[in-house]
Amino acid sequence: MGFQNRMIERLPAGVQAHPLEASFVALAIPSGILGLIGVARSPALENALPRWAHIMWAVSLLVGCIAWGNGLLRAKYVNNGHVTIVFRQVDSLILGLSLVSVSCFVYAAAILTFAGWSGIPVAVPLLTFAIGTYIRRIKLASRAEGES
Amino acid sequence: MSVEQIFAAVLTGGVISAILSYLAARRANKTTYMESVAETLSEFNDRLKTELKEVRIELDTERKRRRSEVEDLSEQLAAERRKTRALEERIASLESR
Repeated sequence: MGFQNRMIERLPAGVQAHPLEASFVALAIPSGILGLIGVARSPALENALPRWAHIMWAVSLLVGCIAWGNGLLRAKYVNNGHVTIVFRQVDSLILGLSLVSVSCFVYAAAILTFAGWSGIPVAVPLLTFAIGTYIRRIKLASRAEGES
Repeated sequence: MSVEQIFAAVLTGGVISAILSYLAARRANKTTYMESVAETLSEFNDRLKTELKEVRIELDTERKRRRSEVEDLSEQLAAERRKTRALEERIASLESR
């Protein structure tokens, strides 16, 4: 356990505090890139969105993940300990969370619309991500403050 | 409206809303957010002790600063009084001639 703790403590503060968020960011970036270059094709999105909107969806997901990841990576511990963390790029987090939320929501809605019941196993996780990221965005927007 | 247009409108609206939220956060200068990540009561206790220590240090520093200001002012006042007394004595000696 000591070795594992030491390895984890080398990670950025934001990743240590929110590993699931960091995982989601890492998970979604390849989808955004592959969707943008046209390698990953989703029949649901191709049916739901015109070509220009499909590109906008991929850009939105990619930019959202990058902004979210930027916010997580820039967080720092304060007070010489590991008990208080400061996120200094909350605007970047808000942008990232908003874009990821809308991208997940649109994808989930497209899957449910065009795949019906068989799309539920994929659509429900996406919908929960959309709701979760939206709740986090609202919380950050209401509680964030300026630099002291 | 076709299904494609509805989805495109929802996506476009969401993206615009995200950009506006970002700009609003920047304009309101809302860029900082603190979280406590203490996972046990003992960590929380340590944090409070650290913060208490820092507040005490700041309080001591402020008290020392004010004390030294008061001492400086007292010295200045004493010096002014000495000057005034010396002038009064000189005036008295001039008047007695």
